[in-house]
Amino acid sequence: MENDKEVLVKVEGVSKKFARDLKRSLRYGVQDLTREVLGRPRVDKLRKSEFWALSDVNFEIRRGECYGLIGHNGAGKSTILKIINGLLKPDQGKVTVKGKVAALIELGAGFNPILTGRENIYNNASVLGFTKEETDARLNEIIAFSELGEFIDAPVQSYSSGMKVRLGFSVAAQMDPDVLIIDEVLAVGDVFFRNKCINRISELKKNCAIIFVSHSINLVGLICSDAVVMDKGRVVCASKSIGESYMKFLELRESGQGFISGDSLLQEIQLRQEGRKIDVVEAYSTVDIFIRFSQPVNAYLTLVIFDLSQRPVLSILDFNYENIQGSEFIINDFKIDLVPGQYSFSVNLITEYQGKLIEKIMEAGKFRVNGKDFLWSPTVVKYRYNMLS
Amino acid sequence: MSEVRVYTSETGLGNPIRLFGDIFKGFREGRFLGYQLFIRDLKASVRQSFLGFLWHFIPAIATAVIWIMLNSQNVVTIENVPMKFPAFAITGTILWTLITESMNKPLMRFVAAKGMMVKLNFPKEALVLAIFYDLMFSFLLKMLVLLPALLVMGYYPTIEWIMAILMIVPMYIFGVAVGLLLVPLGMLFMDISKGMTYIFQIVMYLAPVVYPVQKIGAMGVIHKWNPVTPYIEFIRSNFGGYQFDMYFQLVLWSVFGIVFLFVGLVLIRISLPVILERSGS
Repeated sequence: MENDKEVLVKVEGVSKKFARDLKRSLRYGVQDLTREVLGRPRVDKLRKSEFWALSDVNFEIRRGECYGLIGHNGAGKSTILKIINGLLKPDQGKVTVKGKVAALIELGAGFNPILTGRENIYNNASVLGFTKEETDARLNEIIAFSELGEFIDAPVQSYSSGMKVRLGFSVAAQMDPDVLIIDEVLAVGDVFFRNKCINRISELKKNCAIIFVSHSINLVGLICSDAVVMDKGRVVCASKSIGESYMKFLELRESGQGFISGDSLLQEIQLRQEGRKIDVVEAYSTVDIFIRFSQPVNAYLTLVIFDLSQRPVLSILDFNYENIQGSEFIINDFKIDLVPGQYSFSVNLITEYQGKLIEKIMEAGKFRVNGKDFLWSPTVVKYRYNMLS
Repeated sequence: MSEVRVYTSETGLGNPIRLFGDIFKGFREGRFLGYQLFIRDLKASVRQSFLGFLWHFIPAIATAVIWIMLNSQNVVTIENVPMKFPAFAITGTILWTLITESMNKPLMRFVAAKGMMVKLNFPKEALVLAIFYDLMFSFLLKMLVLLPALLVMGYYPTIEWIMAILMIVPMYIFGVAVGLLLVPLGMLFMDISKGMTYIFQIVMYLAPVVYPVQKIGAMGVIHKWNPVTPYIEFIRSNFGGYQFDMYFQLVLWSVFGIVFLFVGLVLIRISLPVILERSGS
């Protein structure tokens, strides 16, 4: 561990109250201000319609570290980012930020659609805190990074949303921050540009502390060194192991049984061990997959396993591409060669091999895989590495 | 390490010296941003309109022309005008636009920048700089019309013209200060910006814009204590070479202007986080 590196972001016991009612919230705001002018202590208790958006959040990030913040909507991720960025004031506690802060929260802030891309580089750069000289010096790099070519002299209102993001990121990427705050901005843009952004962030990572908020666990895994799981304004788990944090995140929400509507042919798909239904299974163990239909069918069946973010992971086919006939089936001794996480089945019923679709059901038979091998490929198979020399 | 920022629940009111230091630092760091915002909006407004800069004069000249007509046709008779009426009316309406602009601009700037402010942390003083750039530019343009117009109507430059032009600075400070004081409320409620349009229309008739200062009656009292009167009168009398005797009010409102400006800047610093927190993103 590089614990000798300096702490750039320190969050100590930070709490934040929000009020659900706008008018009341304004009144409380004025109340807080007057109390401060009069030198009276703040109201620490919750007033009517208030709730804790953050409560007692603690963590610190050193240079060279990248914290991934994961959590469901409303968990307080954006709130803590805004406090670190100085946009919101904490109600309790203290945030200390050292050095130059850059926030990739809104790309292309300050753009005016009427003006050209080139002119807007200056607008965006000035909002991000560059001086004129700094912008002049980096102009060519910015334009080259954006790959916009001759469109750079076209008005920004003629750009596609992807192009705007490119330009915005290109400006922001030229900063040399000590602290970098990233909030879900990489979601847009094509694959190639996204990879370029990730590379740039990895490059920056060596020299700064990064806080990264994303719903994509794959991106978090790719970029981050640590993961913090937040739920209802609290840090539930902070770990060097992103996989461990991810499992914690999955536990926050009941997995449920998936969505099978009553009038569909498929009635049930479940994992069984020793004849009993299970929802949680150890990685590399062997299970039976049991399927039941509401009436006897004569169809060609394929199963696809999907992960939580609906990435297809593995397909299961019949050996001889034959139709199934009947209403109850079982696939015996299926080996769970999956990395820990949350999975579900997609069940496809087709009239015959390469025939017409009869029924397709997504997110059926949810299950969770436990284990210790957190890897960034969804499937994992164990082999022996034999020594040759 | 270059800079350490600490964020706690304190707003800074408990430590005024540091608060003023922060405001000063905000102006310094916001120089490029303020200028860039001014240039951006100027370029965009010219590219988006056919008449371009003409819009800076159309309202003032239209008002003046109407009054000149009303007066020359004896529909309304304005007496005791210390200058030729057309010159008097045009100077008055142009000065009036300058004042209303300076009071309106702060709210316009801050409301327009709201989306940026809830997402990014930048010195808000940059917006105040942008406001002053906007106003100086508008002033220069208007002088380009007003000064030749005065020449044509037989008023020739004197040393007093310099005094008139310099007086724009305290006038702008007063106007911007009032505007800044309205920003916190105005950002929360649409009523302020809507109301201002109507109020200015009414107040124009309560100020000596197209008619000379009244000395007696209720109107005399209103004119005497209307903060806009001394500025309009000082500037216009120096252009037109007539007597000005409201020095007390002029100094009074200018001192108030400076005090209001500081209060406004502090108010913006402490109230914006409270407002932005509640405006969402």
